[in-house]
Amino acid sequence: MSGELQIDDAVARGYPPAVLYLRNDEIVTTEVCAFNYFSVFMKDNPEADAHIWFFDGAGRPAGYFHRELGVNGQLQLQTSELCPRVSGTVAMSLIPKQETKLRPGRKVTTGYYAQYFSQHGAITLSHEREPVSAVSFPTTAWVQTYLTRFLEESGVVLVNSCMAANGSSVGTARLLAVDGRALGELALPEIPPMGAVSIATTTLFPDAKRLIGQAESFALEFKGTNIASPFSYYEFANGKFSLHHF
Amino acid sequence: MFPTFAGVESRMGFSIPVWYRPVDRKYLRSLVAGSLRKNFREVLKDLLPELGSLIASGVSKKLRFKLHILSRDGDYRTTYEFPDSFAPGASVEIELSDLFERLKLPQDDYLVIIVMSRGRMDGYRSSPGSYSMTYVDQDNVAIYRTGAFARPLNEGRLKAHVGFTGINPKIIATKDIVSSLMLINHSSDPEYAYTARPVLKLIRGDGEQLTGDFGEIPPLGAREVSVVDVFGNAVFDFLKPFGGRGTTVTTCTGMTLASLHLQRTNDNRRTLLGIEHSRPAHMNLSGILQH
Repeated sequence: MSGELQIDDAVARGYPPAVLYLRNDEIVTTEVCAFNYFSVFMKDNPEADAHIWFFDGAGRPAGYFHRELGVNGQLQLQTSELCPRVSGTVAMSLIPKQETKLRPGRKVTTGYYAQYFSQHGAITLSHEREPVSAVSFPTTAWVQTYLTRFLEESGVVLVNSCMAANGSSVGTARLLAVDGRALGELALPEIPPMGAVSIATTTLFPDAKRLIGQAESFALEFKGTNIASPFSYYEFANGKFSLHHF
Repeated sequence: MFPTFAGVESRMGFSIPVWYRPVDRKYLRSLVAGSLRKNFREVLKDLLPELGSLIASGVSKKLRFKLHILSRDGDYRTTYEFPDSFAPGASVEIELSDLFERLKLPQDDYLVIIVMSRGRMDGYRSSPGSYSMTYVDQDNVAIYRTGAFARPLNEGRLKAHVGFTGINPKIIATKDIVSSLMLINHSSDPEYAYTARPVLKLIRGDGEQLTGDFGEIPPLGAREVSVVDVFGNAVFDFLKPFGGRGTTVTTCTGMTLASLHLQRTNDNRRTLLGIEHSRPAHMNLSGILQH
């Protein structure tokens, strides 16, 4: 596509796109929402370009979108119209049109949101997560609690926000009791650079119900390399999908 | 500060990261570096309570939690202290509507201030990890997660905040869905006494905009308004050419506010579909050298 900004160019210029989970299938569609906040905070430089890159779960490029945003420009992009039936990662950069000087050693990150529409009118929201990294990075342990009564419906979405060719993510998952006791531990499947996976708790830990027992809640912990902060989810039999960043 | 909604299961959770330590080399380094940037009086005000509480806790890795329960108008109701302390790796979980019943509070919308015995005073001065609020009604689960503040907010002893600018590009006004904003007039000062009066702009895709008053938010209180509450039923026609979509820009001079974005069914704010905290957009510009 002519005029397309390459994602590695955006990173090299100091405007790394921030990642979010992308899901477009028969149950969920993803809308990316952004506002040209440069026009609010930089009155002498109010125009910006929105660049959005889409990747499938294996990290393969699945599309690109560009729009110029003027004063008070905004974007509510139905990604299912651009890449229907693609689930993986979306990454977005807002870059001011006029050349700006960056503080030495600093990057300009992008703030935006996604809303995920699912069946029976359900909507779930997330703000952007980590910026894309050109080099591998460690992921410290992220832990979140889940409701045991929704164990069968629960799971995690992991996004690899490293774009380096050798930047596959590796890591471990632990099933924890709320007092911190480890009930199970395993190695996560590798996620290719810019890819994403969605894994049910009972796929990770088939014996979770017995291990958790009667406790009202349990926790999942994820750590390793190149894993952006995870998302927990509940997906109900009626097609309602509820996703939340850790 | 977190909102609860009458008739909705509201569950607060917090998982203490296994790596959490009350003091480490990085933390001590940041305390010293921070002190060098302040005047002597500010150093004493910040450091003495911090060092005092470290000594009093015996530099324990365990954290304690208590909840102050307030009305949505910011009036104090009661305090609950968790009987146990919690070690790194453990999670704190409580169902707040059950707690309100045990505390004999009538069913109502509340605000809950969660106070933990220690935060991270380095970096962004926040909690080590995110709090999770889970709202479950009959067939929806809405969750948001955010860190707690470990820094002064809206306090008179400090330089005043420039102001609040909250941007929400997820606004929907259709026959099925109506977006709401909730703003919380928070403060780290229990005697905080300033009412907030934000102004709301609704901007649609062609740049046309409506302006309205958000309404008053009492000190330590919160207020939720939908775009229909502020702009009336005309909002449906205003956004219709743009698929019912738009952006709100909310401003309030001289104070900082916490902001939540809510998606509800078009049923006068009875059903909560989704909730997320906003992010301060100006932080994204901190890497740019501005004149």
